[in-house]
Amino acid sequence: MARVVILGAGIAGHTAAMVLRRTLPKEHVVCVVSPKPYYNWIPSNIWVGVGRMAREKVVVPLAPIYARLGIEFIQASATEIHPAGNPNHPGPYIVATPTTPGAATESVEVAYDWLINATGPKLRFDRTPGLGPDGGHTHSVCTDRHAVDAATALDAAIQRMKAGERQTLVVGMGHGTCTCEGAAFEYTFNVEHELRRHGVRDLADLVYLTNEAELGDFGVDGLVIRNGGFHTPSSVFAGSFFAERSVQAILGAHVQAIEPGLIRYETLDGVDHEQRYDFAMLLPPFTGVGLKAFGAQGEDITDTLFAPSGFTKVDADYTPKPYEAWKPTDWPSTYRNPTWKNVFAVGIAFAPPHPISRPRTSPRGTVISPAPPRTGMPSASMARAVAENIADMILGRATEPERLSSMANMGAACVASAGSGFWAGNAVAMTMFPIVPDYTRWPGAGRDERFTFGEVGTAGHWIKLVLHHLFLYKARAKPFWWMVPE
Amino acid sequence: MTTKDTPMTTQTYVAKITVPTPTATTLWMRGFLPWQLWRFVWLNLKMLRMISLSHPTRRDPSAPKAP
Repeated sequence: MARVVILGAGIAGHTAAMVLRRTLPKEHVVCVVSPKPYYNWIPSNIWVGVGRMAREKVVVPLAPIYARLGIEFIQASATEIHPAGNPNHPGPYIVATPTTPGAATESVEVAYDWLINATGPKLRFDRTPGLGPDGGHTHSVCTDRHAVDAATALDAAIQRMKAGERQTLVVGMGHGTCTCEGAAFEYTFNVEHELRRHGVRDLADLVYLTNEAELGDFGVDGLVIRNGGFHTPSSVFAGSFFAERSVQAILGAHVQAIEPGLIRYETLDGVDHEQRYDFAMLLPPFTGVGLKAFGAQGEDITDTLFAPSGFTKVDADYTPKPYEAWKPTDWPSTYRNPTWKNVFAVGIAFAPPHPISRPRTSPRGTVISPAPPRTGMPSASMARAVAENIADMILGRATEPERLSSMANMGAACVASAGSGFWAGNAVAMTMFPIVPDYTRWPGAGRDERFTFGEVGTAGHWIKLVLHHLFLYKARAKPFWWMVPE
Repeated sequence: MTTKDTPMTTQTYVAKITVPTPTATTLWMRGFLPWQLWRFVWLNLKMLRMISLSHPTRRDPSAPKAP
């Protein structure tokens, strides 16, 4: 009997757990340890954040699903990994602190034979003074509850506009090293759509503040999109949309501090600026969740499992090298820790070898460059591959991970909603293949032009709606869920 | 609602970007249902093809095993 423990029940962790449970015979245990009792389909938080969707529509309670599927569920937050065990606990195990309200808070030890770290990010609002909804002055859509608060604050701003008061709304990135620019882009245009819907667009100054040096970078060094008979850089494609909707853009910005009504930021030219705001939704930078690792004698071996960023080291090439020397083969394909062979990490939890966007610093040395995105579709794809590899090794069908799922060989579809409503909704539908550009296979653009395209229209909004319902259907493990592709 | 004269930035790092903006016909087509239904089908097919290309590949049996 093998025991597979999965830390986290987000898109990656939940996918891994369901695939493993479906693949492994019942004598093997699949156990999920997650601090939250529910799954959150994060891409739809954007609609919650503008008040067009109820929070309940984007969350799914996990316990009933796991009980039905035969997956063990422990509602707890993992804090330590003991990959070699110790004299009192001979096998590998993790330590977790229960998070069920009202329950005992004494740490529990959970033994494992195989471990998948899918803990996602720690939201580092603390990296920028004044950032974030908890003790700061800005809002976020990173979690379902943050999105609900953002919608309330946005509605208050809209009511002030209805009373004739001009408002400045700032959406974007709260630090120079943030990732998930696509989410901020999406929220910007949903807010813009809502302002028009409420008839107050003329009273709003809408500003997109980002660490991207160019519009359309999205943390993937931009794209060259096949569109309208041209190879169009995503900076032009996105820039056109900003111009059309009269959204101002502040590019190459590192937010230094946020005060009530004022954002202080530095730009890539090293100049300090200030931006006034009445409503701001700024995403935080991410790090790993801060798990510690200990050896058999209790010694700290965190550096064998985790990079300084807190993300898990996997089979990537972490050798520091300049942008010109980056290669697609630097990116991991099995997501297995090189020291502890029964430990894997997927989704945001794995440490990328380097960014995808070219690194940039201001003359003062401030890093202002997007971190690589690895959420949504890519995280689910790698989770499935890792789950199937582990199942193969448990069942004796393989001795090594045989399925390779590198972001340098994987595409991504990004459907950025730009307004909800079945008939009036709009979205920017973009796909790229692969995520990590390969300038050897595709000289010039680095990506396959047949599958790197984008367009704007109501059809994109319908796709976004279909994805919402399809992935929540899958998350609920309804009949034939496994037929829904990642 | 073309705003060709609207400044693109509020600061000077990218002082000015000249970008194409959609014509009235393009904007109309973005909401024209028969055209959007066709684009819905076409985009889905393209995405499915891209997803199929993204499926994990099998390790080359002749490749050296990881250390």
